[in-house]
Amino acid sequence: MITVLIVFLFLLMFGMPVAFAIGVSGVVYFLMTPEIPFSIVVQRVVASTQSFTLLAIPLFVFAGNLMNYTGITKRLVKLADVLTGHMYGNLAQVSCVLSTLMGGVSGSANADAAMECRILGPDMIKKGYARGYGGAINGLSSLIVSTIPPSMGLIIYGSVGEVSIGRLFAGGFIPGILTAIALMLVVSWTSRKRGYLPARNKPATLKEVVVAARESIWALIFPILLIVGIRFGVFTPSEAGAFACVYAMFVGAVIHREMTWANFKEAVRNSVMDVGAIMIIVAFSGIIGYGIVFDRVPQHLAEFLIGVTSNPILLLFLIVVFLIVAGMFVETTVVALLLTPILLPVVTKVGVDPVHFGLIMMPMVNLGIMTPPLGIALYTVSSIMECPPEEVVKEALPFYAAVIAVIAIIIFFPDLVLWLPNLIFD
Amino acid sequence: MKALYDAFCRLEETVVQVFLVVITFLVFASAIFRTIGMPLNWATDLSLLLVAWTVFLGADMALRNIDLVRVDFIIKRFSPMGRKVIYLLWYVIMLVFLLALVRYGVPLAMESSRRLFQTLGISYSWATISVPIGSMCMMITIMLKMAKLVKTPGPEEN
Amino acid sequence: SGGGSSAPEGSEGTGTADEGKVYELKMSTQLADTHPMVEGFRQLAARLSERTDGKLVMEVFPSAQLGSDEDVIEQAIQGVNVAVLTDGGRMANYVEEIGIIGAPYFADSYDEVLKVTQTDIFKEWEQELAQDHNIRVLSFNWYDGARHFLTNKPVTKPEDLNGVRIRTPGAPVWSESIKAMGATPVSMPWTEVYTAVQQKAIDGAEGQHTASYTAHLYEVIKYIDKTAHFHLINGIIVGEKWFQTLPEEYQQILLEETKAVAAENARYIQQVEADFEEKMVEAGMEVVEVDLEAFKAAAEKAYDVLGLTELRDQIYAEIGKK
Ligand code: NA
Ligand code: NA
Repeated sequence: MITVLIVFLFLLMFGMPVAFAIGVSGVVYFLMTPEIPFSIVVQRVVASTQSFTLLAIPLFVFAGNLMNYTGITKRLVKLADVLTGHMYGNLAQVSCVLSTLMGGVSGSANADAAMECRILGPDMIKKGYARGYGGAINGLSSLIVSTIPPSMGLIIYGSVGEVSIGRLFAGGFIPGILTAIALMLVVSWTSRKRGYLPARNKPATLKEVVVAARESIWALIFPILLIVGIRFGVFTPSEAGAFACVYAMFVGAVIHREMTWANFKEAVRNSVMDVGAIMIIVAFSGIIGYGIVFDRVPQHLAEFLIGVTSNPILLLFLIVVFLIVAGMFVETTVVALLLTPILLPVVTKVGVDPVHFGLIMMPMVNLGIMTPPLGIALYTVSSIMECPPEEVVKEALPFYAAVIAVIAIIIFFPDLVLWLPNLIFD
Repeated sequence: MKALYDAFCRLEETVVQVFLVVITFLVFASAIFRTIGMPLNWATDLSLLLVAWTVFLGADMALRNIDLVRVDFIIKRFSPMGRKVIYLLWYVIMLVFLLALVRYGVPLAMESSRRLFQTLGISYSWATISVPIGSMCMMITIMLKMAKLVKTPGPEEN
Repeated sequence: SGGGSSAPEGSEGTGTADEGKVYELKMSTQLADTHPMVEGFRQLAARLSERTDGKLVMEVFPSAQLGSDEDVIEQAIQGVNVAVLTDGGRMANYVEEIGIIGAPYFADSYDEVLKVTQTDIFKEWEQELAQDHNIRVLSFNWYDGARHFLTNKPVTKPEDLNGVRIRTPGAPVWSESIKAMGATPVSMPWTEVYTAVQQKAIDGAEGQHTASYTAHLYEVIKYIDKTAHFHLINGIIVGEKWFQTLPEEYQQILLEETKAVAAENARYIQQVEADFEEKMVEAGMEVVEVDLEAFKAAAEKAYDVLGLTELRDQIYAEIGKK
């Protein structure tokens, strides 16, 4: 596995397209393990695309593209300017708010990041934001999505670890909102420094707000309709993306009348290329993923790690670092499946509440998808924002710090997680 | 030859685009029909099958039309000629990788033809075969890119 | 033939060419680590190691780490050293008739399914799997309990299921059975059931206690309607290619122990089943006793639709039922 990692880093650093750097180094594992027939490489590549949850990625990417051609984005950004235009970096703030709202809608952080880069990215660039900055905030704010319920990761954690899913969901609200606040603070600080100036010099009057809100009413209804649709069981979170697409088409063609046939075709064309560029990375990652699991790498590392110390706080911090790394190399849900049974008994033995641990574990695994050297969401936002991943990473440094700070606070103050579930369930 | 290839590209691109739209309406319809108590249980399997094709043919389209993500802060410092050589080398490795997917993907699809998409009653091989076929298309795209890169007198990669 | 020089040379296997070689087998399942059947796999691993002096090593891979069951079956056929727990439905892709052991009310208890798996008909199917499809059945006597309906309104007769959307796996045997019993089958991943029920995208599910309890469905579902419509019988299979690399002695040990541990595990599962039911009731669920005869009569339709009636009569004749 070390060889595979070295090959991967080498190919990556010297500019091989990321998807192929991942695929080729995965193949190195199979060459070193001749007892596994090579046909399994092909199986893992197909299998990585065959998940209903992953369908959210193409669907939300398509939705994002459609909204740009239907006048929804334009009106939404205009409203955002009226509401938050007096703030520094207001589009980046909108990204945080949108992810908090979308938290209840999409189970997939990667899908959310992709969609927001499509919707907000072009305007960010137009207003002089660095491409990497836009990618960083759209990517990292999507971590909120994986904490605020419903969350696929927490469901798996709860099932494998025999922890109440209802409690986990309730426990996710406060950490999710704390993450949103922390990111918004960092946005305001960094954009002040970068000079992402306010679009206006004082808050809008009520009248301006009402006018802009009326204009963008169909865009505003959209997240509400999504949430209502899910709450009333019309669709599941995995299906929400399809609803978003159909809604965008309806509004664009019937209400705003801005979507022509040519626009529609262009939206579809851009979407399939986005999907191809993003999902080929996901698909080729399946090759390395198989090797890592086949050799039980995460389990061996975890078992080594938990032997190091019995101090609960120190142990949690070690585990946090380990989980971020695990989240880079193995798909989020797979990490939850592999590591929950190993880590949970150890941390509960030193007195950590399982619900508390779940809300430390799942956000950290998700942070791994935005972290170099191997983060699916990192490459997704780079692809859509059309900038090299290292620029996104550079711009993301303060945001990483904010997310880690939130986790540190949550580790030290378990009640931030446990207060709400205790209130509801006891 | 060029006309033929262009026609092929147009066909490929049409297919992927139609697939994405079909997937969207399938997932949407399946939610609506479940709500009114008439679930379409084949819709999930069908959309997964179409996703496989969308991904691998879409990847070829992306490879041809946009730049795939890569890390470039080291390579940027190379001499133009050095960069050209490295890119050519990467293309060769990518070709070998894709060739392996074709070489082992076709037999896999044929050998496991009895595996089914249960709700569709059709073979899972229809999904498996999307990998070798997508890879074959990507090989052609890469070879054309290599030819272009070699022919370009300047150091510019495309 | 493929086992090299490993002639049946007495139980110590001395003097074979495979002396000292360690054989590894990776046992895969979609079940979670905490599932009581996975405990059985660990026992099996210990027994195999014990009887072969650590030369036949089995590692357990729960939670579909190596891929879905279908993926791992494909891996086994291709020659990877994996074993996988599978139901009859997946084997029916290869030998269609095997699917019948997943049909509704086909058997009334574990012991009855066990009888079926010991019939000549079943043994012929196993042979066909090995010879024509490279799939070696190690044993087909693993038990996961009876499946019941899980709903938010009490169900006592098939009519109560009219218009009720029930999650069931997508395979035709299952969805036809659920339809015959009156409900509307919805296929979706098991992990989505919790939220789907919570948000009323579906009205319920059907499952065995070992799965329902671990998925915490008692947090969102009120009633267990004890229909016991399927008795979940599973098999462990390996690829014939890998199996033939084993010395004959180890092949025997593997077959014997898999069967023996499965039988013990099945008894254990029956205890656990009762235990889980108690826990779910403590957590607020209610057990509803149903009109079994009415459900059995309704399920008949599934046999007609799936064309299994004749095959069932044939098997019943062999085990002397009805
Ligand atoms: Na965002
Ligand atoms: Na969420």
